Parts: sequence; C-alpha cells; structure tokens
Amino acid sequence: MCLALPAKIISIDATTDRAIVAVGDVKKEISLALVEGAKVHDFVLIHVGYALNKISQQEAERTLEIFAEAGLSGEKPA
Amino acid sequence: MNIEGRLQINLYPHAGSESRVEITSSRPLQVVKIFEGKRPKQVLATLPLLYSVCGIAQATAATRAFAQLLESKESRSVDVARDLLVTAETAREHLWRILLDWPQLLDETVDAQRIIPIQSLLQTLRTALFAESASFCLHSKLELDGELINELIDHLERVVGELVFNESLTQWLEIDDLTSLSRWVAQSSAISARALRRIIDDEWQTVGRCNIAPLPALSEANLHQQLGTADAEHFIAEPTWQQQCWETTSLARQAEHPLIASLQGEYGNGLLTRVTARLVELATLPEKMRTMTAHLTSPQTVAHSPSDKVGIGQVEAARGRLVHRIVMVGGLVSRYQVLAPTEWNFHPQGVVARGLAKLQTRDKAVLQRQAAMLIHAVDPCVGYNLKVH
Repeated sequence: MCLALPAKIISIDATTDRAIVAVGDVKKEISLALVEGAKVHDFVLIHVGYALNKISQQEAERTLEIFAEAGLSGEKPA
Repeated sequence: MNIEGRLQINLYPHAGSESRVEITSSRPLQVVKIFEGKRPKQVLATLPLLYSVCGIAQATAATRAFAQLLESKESRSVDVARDLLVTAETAREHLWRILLDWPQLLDETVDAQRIIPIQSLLQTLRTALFAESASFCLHSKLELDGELINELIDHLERVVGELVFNESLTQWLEIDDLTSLSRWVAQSSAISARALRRIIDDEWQTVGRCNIAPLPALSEANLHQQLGTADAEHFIAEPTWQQQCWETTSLARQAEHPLIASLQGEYGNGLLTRVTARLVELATLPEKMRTMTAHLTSPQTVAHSPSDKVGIGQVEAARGRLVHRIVMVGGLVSRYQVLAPTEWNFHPQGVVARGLAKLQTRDKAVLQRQAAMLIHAVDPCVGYNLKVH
C-alpha cells in the first residue's frame, strides 16, 4: 500500500541535492539523492522525502487522476 | 496534503514497567477499491502507477492472483523472472535503507552519488528478462539476455560488497556466529560495521527485544477464510492470525541463518539481531538470484488449482509478506484486497509496539533515538511521526 506522489520540480539547490517540488498547490522540499540528472520542470515520484524516479508529465497526470478516482486528491499537477 | 498516509507512534514511558505505546495509521488501505468494476488488463495497467514503491512486488502479487483466478497457463520461467525482479527490488530497498538512513542515524553525511546507479540496475535487469515486452501482463513473454543477466547479478554483488561491507560478500558471509561478527565489527570501517559498532558501544544489543514469532506460511484456504468475510477490512488494517500478532520482516525470513540464530540466542530479537538480519539478507541475495536463473528456461507451466472466481497472489517483498486477493464476477473485478506487511509489523500490539514498550531509559533523548532505530530496523513503507511523551 505504499503510494508515491507525482510532483513537479520547481527549484533545485545543487549544493545540497535538494529540490522544492509541487504536488498540486502544495510545495514540499525533497532530496534528489536517488535520481540522476533531474532538472527544473521535470516530474518525479516522491516518497518519504525522496524523489524515487523521473516520470513523464503524462504519467504524472494519469497517476493523479487515479488518486482522484480513489478519493485521495482531486488536484492536477502544477 | 498527505495522500500516502502516515503512522503516528506515541510512546508514554513508564519507569520500572512496560511503557504504553499507541500506533495509529492513516494509510489509505481502501484505495484498491478503484479496481472494482475493472477488467484485469485495466488493473494491471493502473497498478504500477498507484504502487510505485515496491512496485515490482505489488505487480507480481497481482499477476499471480489474476493468473490463478483466470486459470491461465503461465510458464514457470515467467514466474521465476518476476521473482528475480522482486529479489533485485528487495536488494535495492535494503541498499537504500542502509545507505540513506544509517548515515543519518550515525550522524554522518549521505553520499548520494554512490546510491544513484542502483535504480538503473533494476531497470536494466527488467530489459534483460523481458526486452521491450510487458513484464506484468497476463501473457508476458521472456526475451532473455542470459549474459547480461549474469553480468547484472555480478555487478550487484560487487556494488553491495563495496558499498555496504567493504569486502566481498563471499568473505563476509563466512561470519557465522557472534564471536566472528564482533571481531569483524571491531576491525572494519564499512557503514554496516559502524552501525553495528554503535549498537554494541551503546550496549543497545537487546533494545526492543520482545516475544513475537515470525509469520508462518499461510495457506490460501487460511487467507480466503480471513479475507472473505464481510469485515475483512478490519483484518487488513490490523491483521492477526490465531488470535496473535506476528512479525514479517528480514529477521523473520533470516531466523534460521547460523549468524542470526547465534545472535538470537544471545540478544533475542533486539536491535543487533534485527539490524544484522537485514545485512545477512542483503548479502545472500545475489547468490539467491544466481540460483533462480537456472529456472529461467524451465518448460514447465505453473499449475493453478481451481479457484471459484477468487485468486490469491503472495510475494515476499522487501518489508515482508504481501498478499493480493481478487474476486471476479462476469469478467470484472468485484473485490480487490491487499494485505501488506506494514499492517502486521506496525499493528497496535505488534512487534514494534511490543519492542517500544520494552524500552527502559530515563533519558528522553536516548529513548527517542532508540525508538527511531527500532522503527527504522523494522522499516515501515510510509512516513511516521514519533512522539515520546
């Protein structure tokens, strides 16, 4: 039952390898330690403070649609 | 926003006797209801998007349940290939926990550059097994690149040896009792040795020691009995078997290993045994994968017993046993249930609750650290808040 959230990278701090991401209207700070070559505007799956991997915008939107269908969120990616 | 849910763990210390522990979960366990009314193909296409953490174990459990339900004759080799991917995913999860969490618990800095290649290894292994075809559909076909599969397993073995043990796995696995482990811990500078040394230096070997047994094999009949009832949602949220709580973790799986048996004899299921069990499991995974590759060309098919429109798929995922149960009517899913290891291990009276209740120290900061180490050693697949009152 371990869900990861699709999020869009808003900014990156290269010195700390951390990023601000947006999940809908909500912004979070996460670590990019597990993904290679992530850039601003990329979409990533986040879980417990880490980006797990990069995904396409289409995958991000589809995943959020599934969450919305499950009643978990009605928000669309930023 | 907290779509993925969290565990709230409250610890109320009580000097001289067991502390009171409260564990509550906001994990969205009913999210699988979205599969109801859908066809198997739709479910298998949606599942990887929903469950991207341990996604291979989840997809394996789902395809197993559907294969049984639809009595499809799937080749044994495809099932083995998926197990191989689950094993690689388990290695990745253990590596992530060791390389990300342990430095923080030791007040050290995480070296991210060493961690990144592990994820791509799993992707490459999937391609080496299935090429471009779907690995988790009802009629998956293997397109094996045997040479690449062997290279990847060799690579995984080297990476684990270098990053976690500072020596070859063959060499490390010669450690088979407390005496040889203590000698190695005193000499090695590996991250794993530093973590174990901290536990030993702090005399925390027995921290969290409690009485709880490894979850035994549950037959499909047992699972249908528990999951087929109208109030099965309660069982899924707080599972027990034979009126008892059980543990399903690396330690439960490695209990028979000579080193773990030796540590259990001295420290029970305390912190040293628990942390070492993860290391033992990780160290044995590449060889386990090599053994599995011998069955990748098996001409046999998997025999599914008649299932009366109900299918069950079980998988040993990184954090413990994962079960998917699916009921179908008229070609559509009418009930979809997932029983996950976190619900066994973080049951309000389960292994973490019992272990935390045994913590005995008056120093609140120490208590906080001991509790965090125990929680990380069992490893929830979700974030948690720990409050020591």
